[in-house]
Amino acid sequence: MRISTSHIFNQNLSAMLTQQTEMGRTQLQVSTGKKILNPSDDPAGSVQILNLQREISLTDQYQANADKAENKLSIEEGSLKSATALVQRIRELAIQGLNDSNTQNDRTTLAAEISQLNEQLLTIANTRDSNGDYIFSGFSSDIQPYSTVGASYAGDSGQRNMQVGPGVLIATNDAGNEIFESQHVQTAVTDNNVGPPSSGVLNIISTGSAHAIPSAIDIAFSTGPDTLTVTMGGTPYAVTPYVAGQPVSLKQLDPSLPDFTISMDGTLANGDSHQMNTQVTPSKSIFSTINDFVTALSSNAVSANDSPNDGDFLTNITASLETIVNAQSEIGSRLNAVDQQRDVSSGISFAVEKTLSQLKDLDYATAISRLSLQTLGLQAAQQSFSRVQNLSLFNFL
Amino acid sequence: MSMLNIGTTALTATQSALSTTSHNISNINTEGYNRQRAEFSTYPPDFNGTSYIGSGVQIGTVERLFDGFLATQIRTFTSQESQSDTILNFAHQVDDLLGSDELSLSNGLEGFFNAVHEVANDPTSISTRQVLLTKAEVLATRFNTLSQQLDGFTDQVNTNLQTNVTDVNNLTQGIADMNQSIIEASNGSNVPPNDLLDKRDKLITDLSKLVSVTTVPDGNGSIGVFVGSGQAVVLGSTAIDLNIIPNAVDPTLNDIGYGPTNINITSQISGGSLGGLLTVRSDIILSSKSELDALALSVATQLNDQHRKGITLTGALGGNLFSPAAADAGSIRLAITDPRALAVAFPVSSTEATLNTGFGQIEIESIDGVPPLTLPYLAANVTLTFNSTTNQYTVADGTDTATFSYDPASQSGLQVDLGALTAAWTTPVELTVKVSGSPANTDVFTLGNSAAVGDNRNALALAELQTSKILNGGTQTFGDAYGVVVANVATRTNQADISQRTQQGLLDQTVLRYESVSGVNLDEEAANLIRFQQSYQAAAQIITVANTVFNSLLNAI
Repeated sequence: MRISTSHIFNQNLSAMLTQQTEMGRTQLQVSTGKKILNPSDDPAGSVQILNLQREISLTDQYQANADKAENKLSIEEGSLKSATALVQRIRELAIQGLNDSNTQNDRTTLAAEISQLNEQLLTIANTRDSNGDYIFSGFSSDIQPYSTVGASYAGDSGQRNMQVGPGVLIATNDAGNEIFESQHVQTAVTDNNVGPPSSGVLNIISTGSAHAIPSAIDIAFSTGPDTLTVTMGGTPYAVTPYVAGQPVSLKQLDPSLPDFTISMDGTLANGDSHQMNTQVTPSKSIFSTINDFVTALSSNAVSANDSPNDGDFLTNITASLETIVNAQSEIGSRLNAVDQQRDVSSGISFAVEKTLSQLKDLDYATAISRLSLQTLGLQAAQQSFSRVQNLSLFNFL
Repeated sequence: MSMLNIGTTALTATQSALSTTSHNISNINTEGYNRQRAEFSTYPPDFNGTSYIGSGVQIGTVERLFDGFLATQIRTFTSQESQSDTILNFAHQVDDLLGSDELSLSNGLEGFFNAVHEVANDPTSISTRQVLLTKAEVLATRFNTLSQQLDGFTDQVNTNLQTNVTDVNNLTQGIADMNQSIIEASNGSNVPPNDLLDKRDKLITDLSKLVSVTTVPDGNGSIGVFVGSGQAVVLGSTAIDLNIIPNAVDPTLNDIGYGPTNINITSQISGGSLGGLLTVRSDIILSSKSELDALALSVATQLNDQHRKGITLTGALGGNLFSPAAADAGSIRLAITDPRALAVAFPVSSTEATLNTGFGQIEIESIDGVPPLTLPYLAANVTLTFNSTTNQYTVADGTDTATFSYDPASQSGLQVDLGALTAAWTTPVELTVKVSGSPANTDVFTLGNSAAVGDNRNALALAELQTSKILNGGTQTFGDAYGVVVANVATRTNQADISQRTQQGLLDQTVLRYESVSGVNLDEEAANLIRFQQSYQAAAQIITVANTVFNSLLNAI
């Protein structure tokens, strides 16, 4: 076939231009490190890259959220740790104060110290975070949860969640009333003589540690012979003969009875009857409980027979401590969950980054060898061009 | 005829051949030039009574080596290649635009939702809220920028259409003029005016770069040129103009009108850069824009609806986050400037009664009222009381009651649409709650109005929209929808690229075949030069010999 001279020229030229374009592309790939320069280079891949980048961004945000959640939970955990230490100290001081060897003065001093610690405990309940938000007032983070030791909870029950993974919400705060309030028990003695008021007086001499009253205990005196009958849950336990003021350990009477030592004093009459029971307040703040105890301790009104009763206070403070410790362990488990989710997220991030890199990043070895091949191609095209262009019959005329 | 005369015809004919060869050589770089060849033929012989004696040579015609079929093919492929090239050129720009990290909506959406998460983490922090507002503005601005850029491409298409139509008119006028010249040049004779034909063919090929054309030769040597579905743009020596007219629906778009009455032939135009411009405008630029507009509207509507269900830092109901109500990519704007006006809290919260002894939980899952809402959201507190004998919660608002079943052993995490449950109530409770845990008998939960600054539930609900498949009938997230826009353009660009390469290949091959007929080869011409030079020298020798013969005769006398 004939070939026109201009066509030879154009063909060679366009071959060189094509080679240059291809080489330029490879060069751009090498200098940017990107396999896909424009979405049109690989439409499906580009969309996948967008999706993967979104997943990475989201996972990074989950990680950031996890950091924040961990931070908040750690602050709360720290506060509760301090609160636990304070409550334990208060409990020790209370035990010390309840010891009968104390004088009124000793007790006043101890009461002052406990009161001081109570104020500190209150400060912890009113802890604020770096934003000035109260961390123990639920959603109402601008409202001080407990303004005074006697005040009731002013916050709400809101729990702020943070998203640390797809669909994984972690509560990062606890309402103050869930932590600093617990069931409050008060042992009460009431005269339940069906006739005239009892002339004998029921005296609680001491209480042991296991003195919760499962159900109301009736303690009645009857004559002929003089008998003190302790009835709980319909089962009577009798002490015969009984002399006024004689101490009776209920636990020794029967192991199923609570750990109280009581006596009935005064002039005993047939039919005298008292009922011992535990009055339960569903929820009372620890500050108020301590404060009541401080008042009692400083006025030296903490004998077994006084109200609030020594054993009751220890029971209540122990229950409060338990609530705080439970909250602490709950926070611990949330921190654990955050950590686990963080591991999951890192795993996902790693896998996604790897896939993304495979899609997006240039394989330098391949690209460089392609570049040298293309350089060679261009050189060949240039050389053949100059050779071919030199060939002309006119050179020989 | 004498030897001298024969020699003279040879000299004349050879000179013509040398001229043609020189003409070929000198037009080696002339675009549209088709090589010419002088056709030698014998002079009519003399009859001397017994035989015919040859009487020399003459140039019959100077032939133009031209293959009409290949020329038509070249025009077809030129039109197609030019169309693909135009599409590719614009498609690449749109492709770059959507793929760039700086303008990508994908990044914009991610930045926005990350900021929403940060606000959920710290709902009372003004600076975090401010960051969210900034990110929301960035998102809106990205929509605006993309929209402006696409509008810019539409403008560019308009301008190019205008320029191309002017070029078409210039070319058709040129073709009409050439028709006239050709009619005049070949008037009454069969001698083809080769160079005029070349010029006309070149003009038609140039025209086919702008628009796909068909040609019909006329009896008198002129050629009729037609575009679209048979609209004549050249008839004999008359050219009929194309014009730019405004699109009937969107007057900002240029359309193509035909003839003095400007009949709209836009939809019939195909091929060439005109066809390419019209295709890229409808298939890439305008379709991307409408997809972006739809996405902008969805983003605005969905985020606004959720935002308007929330409570601001000052206790008011949230307003629109983006405006206007019928937002598109070009018009979407951030509607609020005060970071406190971000509605991050829920208007309702659930409280567990202090006396509850079980471990049940009831949380507000979503606020189901359709904005605009009014405050207080609940007309009265709503209580949910559990009955462990029947495993039922009783819902009551003081006026009406309803019940739903909840088995703590198997249904923890149950979502209950209270709106459906209380549809018949005087005031239905438009909430969905999540019921979980194991409540004790008579445990009570109260749903009441709330406006607490530390509440982040609406921020979490807003953040949830990032991963919710809420678009296109619940199949796509916002990010997915943007991915579709990018993919559509990328695929079309890719197709245009492949198509351009294919058309280029076809065109190159056809040009090669066309050139093999019509192109000038310098070696061939050099050989012809030598050949005709030798012929000329030989013919000159005839004259010399004739002279010698004549001298011999003279000397003999």
